[in-house]
Amino acid sequence: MKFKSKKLSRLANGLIASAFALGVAVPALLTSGTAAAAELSSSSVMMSNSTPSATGVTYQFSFTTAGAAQSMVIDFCTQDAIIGDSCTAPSGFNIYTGTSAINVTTGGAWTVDTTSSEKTTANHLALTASSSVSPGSQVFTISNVDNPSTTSQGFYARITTYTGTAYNGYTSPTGVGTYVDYGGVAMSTAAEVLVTARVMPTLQFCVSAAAPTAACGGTTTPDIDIGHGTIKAIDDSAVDTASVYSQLSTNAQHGAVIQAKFFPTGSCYGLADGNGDCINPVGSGTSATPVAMTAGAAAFGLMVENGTAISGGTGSTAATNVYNDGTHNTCNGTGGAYFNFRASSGTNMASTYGDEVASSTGAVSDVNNTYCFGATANATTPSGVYTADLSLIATGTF
Amino acid sequence: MLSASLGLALSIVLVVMSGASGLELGQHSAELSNDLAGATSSYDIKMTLADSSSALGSIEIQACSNSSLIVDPCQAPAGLSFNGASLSTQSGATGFTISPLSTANNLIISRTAAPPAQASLEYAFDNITNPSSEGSYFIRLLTYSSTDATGTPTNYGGLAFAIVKPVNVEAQVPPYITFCVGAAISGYNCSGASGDYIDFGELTPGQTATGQEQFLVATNAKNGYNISVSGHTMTSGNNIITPLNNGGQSVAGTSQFGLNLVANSSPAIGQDPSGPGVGAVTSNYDQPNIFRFDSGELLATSSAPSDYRKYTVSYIVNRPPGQAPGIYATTMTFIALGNF
Repeated sequence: MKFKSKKLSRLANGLIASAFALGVAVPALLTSGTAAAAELSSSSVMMSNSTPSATGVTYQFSFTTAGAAQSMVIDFCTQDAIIGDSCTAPSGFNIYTGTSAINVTTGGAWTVDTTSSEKTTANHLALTASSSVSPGSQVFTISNVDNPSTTSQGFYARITTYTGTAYNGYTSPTGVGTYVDYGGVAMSTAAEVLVTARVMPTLQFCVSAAAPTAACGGTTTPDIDIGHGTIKAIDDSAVDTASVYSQLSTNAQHGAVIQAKFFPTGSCYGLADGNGDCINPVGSGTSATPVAMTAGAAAFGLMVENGTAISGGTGSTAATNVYNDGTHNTCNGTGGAYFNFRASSGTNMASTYGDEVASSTGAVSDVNNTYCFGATANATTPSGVYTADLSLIATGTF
Repeated sequence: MLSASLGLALSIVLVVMSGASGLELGQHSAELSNDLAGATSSYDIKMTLADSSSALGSIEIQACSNSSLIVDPCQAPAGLSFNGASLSTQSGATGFTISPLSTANNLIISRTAAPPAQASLEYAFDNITNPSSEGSYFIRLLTYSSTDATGTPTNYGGLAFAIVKPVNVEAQVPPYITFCVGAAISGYNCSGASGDYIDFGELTPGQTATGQEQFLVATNAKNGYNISVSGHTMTSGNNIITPLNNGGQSVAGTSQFGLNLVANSSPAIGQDPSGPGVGAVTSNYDQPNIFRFDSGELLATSSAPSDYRKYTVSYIVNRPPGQAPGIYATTMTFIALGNF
């Protein structure tokens, strides 16, 4: 095989720019008497790190020899891969720090020569084998290599193999002696690629009269009318219920809390008609646990169902036991639901930050909660339109 | 021979951008007392410092609509205002006051720089005006050694909060009044009412004829009810029994027609009102043994909604010896009005 040096140069330079982690085999010209020499095939060098000045880097050599050999030289040069050409060590490159520290390891039949006249130096790797190595695939690694210090530094490994263990006349990169096989590999350092991804804190929370679909879709204004009949009304014949929904999505790693904040009308801590009349909270507004509501015993209350993820969502929220006793948590007024409306005494819905009704222990996505309101009137509940204003507040702990 | 394949091994560093120097806060949150658009709310800010050894001179709380990252410009949430904020609670590191450097969306509190007493800090602010639209917003938290929120932050963190729609619960209680009349009503249910006719029998001069009927009322009229009677005394053609227009005791052998709504002993007739409801007999008809009849007068009233209240109407009829013969009759109409 014959190669023109121009061709080699163009090709090598073109590859340097992109081959910064996997050395690429390049043609190596013969400059000395090597009539029987053959070029290495399938040659490459894999670097574990191409960052300039990186230390502790592993280089894995892989090539196929055509002839038997028992010693080998690999010179690392900045100029080119041409065998016998002048060689300048890449600045900062070091495969061998001195006699006291051997930072080269090998694999296969090859061991590092640290004792002969051609022993390994900073940019010169000398390898020997205990016996002649048959032609074929050669794979070995050197580790603890210090990379060249210059960014985008192209450099080359010139490989020559020899019969016997004495490198058969090799004295320097320009005096390579009589070798069996030869080859070259191009490598390069490259700036570290920094990939940045921004993850901002998120908290999407919506409240709706209809159960939200994914990403708070399908929401409607959370105004609900409790009662029965064509013209919905409450009376002493039933406990009527109506529900609103919330949907929570957050990446708060320490979870989120949903609180219900109640805005009382005057001194009424339940449903108020604005004229001083009140349907009082069930359990006198002070109960620590949900209680049953009885038709005709005027009261207003709330039951919160545990939150579950809709299709495509993840995670869950747990209703507090103040608003869900774990048993009576089906939203109906026939005993399926026990209610509470803690609106006075201690932490409650009317206090500054409201009362906790549900929480998650971590990040959640598209988790819907159902808030079941129940109300009933008694025979003397003054007629009127009674209302209660609340807000549901979600707080993430990031 | 260039048969070697070309491969790439990128050193990839995945970074959650902070955009700020210093250490990222531990757990941090912002709790709102009111998350309604445009509402005046309190904000309770909690944070755990990652760097609690550095001096702490100021804390910056920046609200943004677009990003929690310092590297991004901050777009002030429309409507949000820290301008009227007051610092109501502080713990973990105290001595802070609101800095005049604060702006509508950038709240700065400052103090004499010193290391915090502990890593866990809490600051509550009142009178903050929420963003004017529902949605998600961000708060950036930064701590500084400087007292004016300048220099390199010692801690940083971001969080999100949501402004939502209010929940309005409505329940309508319709007005009602239940009223029934019968010769007798069992219990406190109009389904137990029966009879609408009283037969006094043959009137004799020496004996007072008596009869009674009952009515039951319930209403949720806020101002209660009024029950009145309408009719005329007993007549037979042009002959009448004299109504007790001014009230009086029953005297046999005189011409008297009257009624009351209480228990009497002379004659022994009637009952006091009963039932779970409220209401009382008016003063003209609540005196035992005193009977009266004046058409249109109120018999019973309540000033408040009432559950079932049962009243017993007792009638007396007396006739003088010269009373013209005939069939004497009358029709009484009781009217219940709810005062809604």
